[in-house]
Amino acid sequence: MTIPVGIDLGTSYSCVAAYIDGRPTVLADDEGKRTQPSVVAFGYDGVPVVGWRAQRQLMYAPESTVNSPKRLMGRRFRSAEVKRLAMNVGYELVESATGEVQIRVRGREYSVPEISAFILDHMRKIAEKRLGQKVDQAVVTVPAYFNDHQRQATREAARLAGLECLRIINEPTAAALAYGLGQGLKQNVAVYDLGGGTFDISVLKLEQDVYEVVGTAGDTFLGGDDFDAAVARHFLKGFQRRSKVSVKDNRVTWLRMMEAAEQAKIALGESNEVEVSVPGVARSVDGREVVLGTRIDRLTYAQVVMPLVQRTFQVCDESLKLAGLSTSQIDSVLLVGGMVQLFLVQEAVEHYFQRPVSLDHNPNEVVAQGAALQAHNLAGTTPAGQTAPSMPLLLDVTPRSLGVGTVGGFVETIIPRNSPIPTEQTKIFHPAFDQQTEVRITVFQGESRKMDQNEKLGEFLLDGLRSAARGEVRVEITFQIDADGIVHVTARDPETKNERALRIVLDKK
Amino acid sequence: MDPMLKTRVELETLHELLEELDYYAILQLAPDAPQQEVEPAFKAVSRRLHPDRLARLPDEDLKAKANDIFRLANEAYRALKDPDTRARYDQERAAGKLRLTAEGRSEAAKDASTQGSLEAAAKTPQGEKYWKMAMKCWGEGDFKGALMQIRFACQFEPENAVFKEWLEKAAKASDEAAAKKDANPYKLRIV
Repeated sequence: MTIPVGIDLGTSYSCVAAYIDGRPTVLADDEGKRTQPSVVAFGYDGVPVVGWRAQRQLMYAPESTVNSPKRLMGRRFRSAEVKRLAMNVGYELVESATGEVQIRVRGREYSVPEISAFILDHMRKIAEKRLGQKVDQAVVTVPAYFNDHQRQATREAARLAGLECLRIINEPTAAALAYGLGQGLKQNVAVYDLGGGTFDISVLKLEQDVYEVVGTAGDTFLGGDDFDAAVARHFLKGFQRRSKVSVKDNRVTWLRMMEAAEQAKIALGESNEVEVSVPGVARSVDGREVVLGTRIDRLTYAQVVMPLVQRTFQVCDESLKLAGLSTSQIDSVLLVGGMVQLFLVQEAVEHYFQRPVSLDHNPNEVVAQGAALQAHNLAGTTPAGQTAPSMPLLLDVTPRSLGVGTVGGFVETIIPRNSPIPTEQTKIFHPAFDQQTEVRITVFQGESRKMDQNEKLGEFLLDGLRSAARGEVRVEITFQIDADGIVHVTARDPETKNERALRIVLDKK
Repeated sequence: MDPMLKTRVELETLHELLEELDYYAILQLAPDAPQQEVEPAFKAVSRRLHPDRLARLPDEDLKAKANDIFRLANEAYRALKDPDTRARYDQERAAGKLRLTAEGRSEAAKDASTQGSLEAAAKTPQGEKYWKMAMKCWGEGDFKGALMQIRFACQFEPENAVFKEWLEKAAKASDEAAAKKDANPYKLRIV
């Protein structure tokens, strides 16, 4: 039997871990690197290179180097998010026949799962080398607030990489699993997960080996990339105000500004003030190429990004409200993701929760460790049928509401978000018109009352209804979610016992 | 007995009886059990019967049964863990219903949505006034001021659990701040 691994497929960095000798262990590459940049670079021959080697190519060949593909996962080409993102990347985005966003590099088009599959395959090869055996099963993590399309795209990526996806689990939950392992804790834990592209907050009640998720919320478009973009705009505005130079108005300029912003972010970890220089994007009045230079200090940086940090706290308020807890009832705050290394973020989080944050784990590795733990739980090699009693049990919730479309373009929620899974809930509906003998049932996921602001998951028809006044005919709609995220939707006519069902695979292969 | 066989027997039996079990029965809890026993009872059932506990078994049928059982366990836990919802369920149960009706659930949901965050902790206008001032002081690092304001708020709402909790926190923070001040070697104290 092979060892199942846990993979944290991050926006900026990915990490792989496996459960070895009773501990979730990060698997490093040959150079000892414990995380890998989520970057895929294509050479002239079209062969993809992944990780640190690809990262180096990002500087000089941005048009053939795909970074942060996760931000495109499960998105439609025409969505506002993709339009915004197209500004910030050096590669070309195109529309697929089905309306999904695709990436064109060196004359070939790739789906986003295909690109992510290169990264997963790279992680798998690292694992195989460390473990000395074939790896074909994995638990892959996603942001808690990913919708079903994004989860399915992640599953698809795993499949393309030749991995059986045992389960998709949420990043903050995975982090909590690894954090609580073997500690026998009884406390409320908030996991504040600010990564390269997304923000999640989950509140869990830990009681020894049982991890109960009591509140989860997030923003799939709030992360380190947005911090860099805010600072890049700040730089650009400053340069454009200078009268003696003209800044070229193109994408390369913007990419260079983003690069400068990222470097400033890193450098400010070491010193209080740093110099920034951006070559090749401006000319002086007499037409000479000039190098733009400026300085930024920690205080200015904090001012520029503070609105983004504040936005995370609005999401925190939301999750605490869902959990029915106040900040004073949180016993530990666990920081996860690359961005929590920023001192200003740590300070702001401590201020929000009014307690020191926990820093005795690696925020870049703890998610993969938790995924490895869950992988072992679901498919590990203790003799079949026997579960070691100390293994954690995760009581998860569905992070987004599920409902059906009704007249007027509204959605009626059947399973509210934050419901513990597995779950089953039923609501009774009437047809919209008299003498209507069939109803089309459309399933949506999301928090908006309006249909078009939710994600459509599927639809089906229930026919053979009795032809009568609309109030006299009833249709029972039942939603079921299993522990592994599969949704069964059933529509039933209680008079004729006529029944139609739809099986939606929420993050299942 | 093999522990897995025991689990299997329990799952099969419960599944057979599922339609007839009320919320207390599925959580193996006495109907008059004190509120604080609900959560441990649910966790105990979870540890034994959660579908993930069976994930490594090849038996798909048993896994499906575990999902059925656990759906009911989750429904029961959600109803019983909140004292108000539990009281509604007890009424409906006395009238012969096994499951909480949609009406009962929506009433309970209404209660839950009015249950606010920290800002909404106050229940009376006067309490709210001092509570807000207390939060403002706290935010500015004035713990002594916060302590004073919470004391005022408590006069109007002596039973408010959030106030009580914060009274302790503020007292502690204010003492610590005072201790820091005393430790300042550059200040003279009048003895």
